[in-house]
Amino acid sequence: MRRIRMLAVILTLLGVLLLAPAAATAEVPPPAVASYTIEVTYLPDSYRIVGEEVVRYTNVTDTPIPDLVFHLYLNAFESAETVWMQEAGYSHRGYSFNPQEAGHVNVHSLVLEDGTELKQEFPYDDETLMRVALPEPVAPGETVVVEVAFEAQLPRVFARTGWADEGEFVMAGQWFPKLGVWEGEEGWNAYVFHANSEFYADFGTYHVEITLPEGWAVGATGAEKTRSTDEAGTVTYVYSAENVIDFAWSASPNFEEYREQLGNVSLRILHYPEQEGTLRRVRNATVGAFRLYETWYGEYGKGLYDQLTVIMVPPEAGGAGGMEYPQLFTVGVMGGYLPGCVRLTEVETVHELGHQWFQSVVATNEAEDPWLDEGFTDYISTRAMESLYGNVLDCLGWELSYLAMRRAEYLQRPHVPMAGRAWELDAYSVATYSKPAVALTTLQQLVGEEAMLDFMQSYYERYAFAHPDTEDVREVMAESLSEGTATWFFEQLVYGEGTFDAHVTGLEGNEGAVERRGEVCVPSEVLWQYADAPPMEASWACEEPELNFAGSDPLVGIQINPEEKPPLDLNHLNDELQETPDLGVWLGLVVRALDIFQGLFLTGGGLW
Amino acid sequence: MVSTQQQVTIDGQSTMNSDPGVVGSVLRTIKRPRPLLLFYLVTALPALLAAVLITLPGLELARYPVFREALAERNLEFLVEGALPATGESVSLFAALGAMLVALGLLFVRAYLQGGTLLTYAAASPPSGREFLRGCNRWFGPFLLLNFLGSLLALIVLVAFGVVAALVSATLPLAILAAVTGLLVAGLVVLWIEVARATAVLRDDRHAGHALREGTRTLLRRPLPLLALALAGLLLQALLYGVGLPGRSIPIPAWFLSLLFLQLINLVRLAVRLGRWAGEVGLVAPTVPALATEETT
Repeated sequence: MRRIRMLAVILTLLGVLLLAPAAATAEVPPPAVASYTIEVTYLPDSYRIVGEEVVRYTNVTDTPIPDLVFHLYLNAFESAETVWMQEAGYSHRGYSFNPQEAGHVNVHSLVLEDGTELKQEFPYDDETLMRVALPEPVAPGETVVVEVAFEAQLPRVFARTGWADEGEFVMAGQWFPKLGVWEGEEGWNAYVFHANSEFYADFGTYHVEITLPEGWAVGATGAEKTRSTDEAGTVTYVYSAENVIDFAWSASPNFEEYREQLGNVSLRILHYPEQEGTLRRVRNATVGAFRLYETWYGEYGKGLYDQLTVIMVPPEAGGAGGMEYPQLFTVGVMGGYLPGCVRLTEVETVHELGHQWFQSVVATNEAEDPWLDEGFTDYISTRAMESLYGNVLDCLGWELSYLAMRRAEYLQRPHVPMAGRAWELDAYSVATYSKPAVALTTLQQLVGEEAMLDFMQSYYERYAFAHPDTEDVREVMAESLSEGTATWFFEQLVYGEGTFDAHVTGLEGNEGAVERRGEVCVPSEVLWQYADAPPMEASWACEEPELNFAGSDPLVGIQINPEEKPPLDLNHLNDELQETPDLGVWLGLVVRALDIFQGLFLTGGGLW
Repeated sequence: MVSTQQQVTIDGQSTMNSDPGVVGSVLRTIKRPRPLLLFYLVTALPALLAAVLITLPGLELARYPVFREALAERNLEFLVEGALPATGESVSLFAALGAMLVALGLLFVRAYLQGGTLLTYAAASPPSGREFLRGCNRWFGPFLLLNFLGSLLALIVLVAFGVVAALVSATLPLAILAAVTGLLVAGLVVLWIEVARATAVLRDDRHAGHALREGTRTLLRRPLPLLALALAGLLLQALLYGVGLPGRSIPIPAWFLSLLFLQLINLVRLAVRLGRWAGEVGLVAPTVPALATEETT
């Protein structure tokens, strides 16, 4: 694994040195480790995908590969007894599993290039992992080629993948037998499919032929190369994608298409006719965030991608919404139209697009380090949402930012580390989404926007088309920011369970005090003011757990971090205190409560 | 006609002989403002007391500038802070419970005022304060009974149709139809009780059973004007609720503007409700034989 990373770094550096003037766009493609040629037919009446694939896997490590391990993700939806189902409680994001509409994938045959038939084994009760022993190990540098005949029975959509609309909508995600990642001496990096886990795969080339009934529209990873009508009245679409870690596709006869060119990138948005109103919102969020991400972090696909497809899933397939795949993402997890002042569709779009940078290109292990893809993506999403819209909720003048929403979730369970395997985390959503977004935003406040951008750009640059882990990110942070900053961030926040709460503990007469609670320290500023005197300000270092104020005049107010409150701070309310209450605020509350009670007291229609 | 019991002249000439319309009825509540003011006071004053009690913790919160800024900017983030146990101050449960009890008690107070109110709208000239109170006393018992029966019946209707709606929830249009029908039937129950009360006052008959019987007859005799009046009242209430929405989004620190606007809206909403009662009195009067005879002589 280290060798691959080193190779990628060396190749990148060579590219930078040799082609210095065009360094920003001249990316060296990653080695194609796992490539697939797939020919399948989708049968809408039975919701099946039938066909075969030819897998080419190159051993880029110095350890021979004795066997192959395939993920059969669809088997997670075969019954209520699978690991995924047990952990998920038979539902996903509010959408439930129906055992009558289950899914699975059957492998009919596995044959080596020379015709040797291979035998499949299931090392665990859970059949989402399949092991195939090889007659001879694959030596370092060699490539093994296996032909796999398979049949995927799709479930009704409830968790990312499946069919809906009586089979006329299909979202094929994690639908084909797919190899794990060979990590040399450490063996195969592949786990059974857990509910709180996503995916991990090598980069490679995909050549996929999909046969569908005539009149269907297709959206997929990569670009459509050819399209031919067959004698049986079906149409075969040929898609090709290079330097990607996965291949997903969606199709429907009801899809309408929106197209736009974003520089060299062709944007396609596929949607149902009744989603016309939401289309504009998805398009604006996609285009707006795309430009921001390119400006902030680097070119889309490091210049190697020229396609981006957005699938707006129909309302009854909401379970397929809010998911990222290389060069393709889905929106619609909310399952319907939302008022314009509730920008959750925009959040979903901006977030899933963000994964094109921090998952599809910087391809971290989503099972072992979920905070790296979800956390970094959520952090960049909060920034993009703030830049593009200001707030997520903006109804009748009441507003709430995306960061505030994330912080609200973080405050429910702040004592969790971010690092850890997806299925072992105590509070998955907090650990992988909220806390990283809150922590990275706090880090940005501390080091400044420019330094933070430098760190993020360095990370994207160094690990594009590679598989960094948590310690690799720490290394980049130490180099880009400082060793101390990286130690603070990783020890206290990534691996640590500590919290931070700076608060004004007292204010009475001439005296006041501030105190820091929790194991985490965020350097702060304190501002205080005596009556008839200008305000005074001082830095509050981590070495001092508390500060006391005493003077000859009455103290009228104390503020901690008056300019910008760190999102990590558990309570912003107690960061400031003034001697006398603001009566106007209280009277405002009384007036509002009076109105509510008057309404309450007049209930009963005309009876009372 | 002179009622020896009520000692108030109920003269159909001014209002009862013709349909006064919604606007005319609302205007009558303003021309004879005693019931409107009393109803406003008996809701506003306890509401104010409950509001003060429930917002007392807010007085301490008003020492926190972040709280003030969040309210001024209408930033919902303060709710995040408010949800934290560390904040220490929270809405008083006792105050909320007290407010509920006050709301229940007010049902009796408003039932008490209804007799005097209907008498005020039915009388040829505004009754004196003493006459108003006498009307309140005279009709309190029967009206309490009628209101209780009406509430019970409306509740049964709503629950029954609610159950039906839940049972057919798989077919959304059917569920919506059941829910809407339930609301309409409950609305009819309310109208029936209101008409029964007006009939009772105009006939000077304290028997609740008679009131319900005569109320039914009146509803059957003049269904369209009564339904039109009820519908118009409902639409006006909905309109006023919509007009009141901007007032509810005025930033909280602009409390005085908010107070004026919201109290004005609440006063007009109350006037519309009492106006409907006045209109019902006007529509019921021609159906009362004694009054009709009086008018033709």
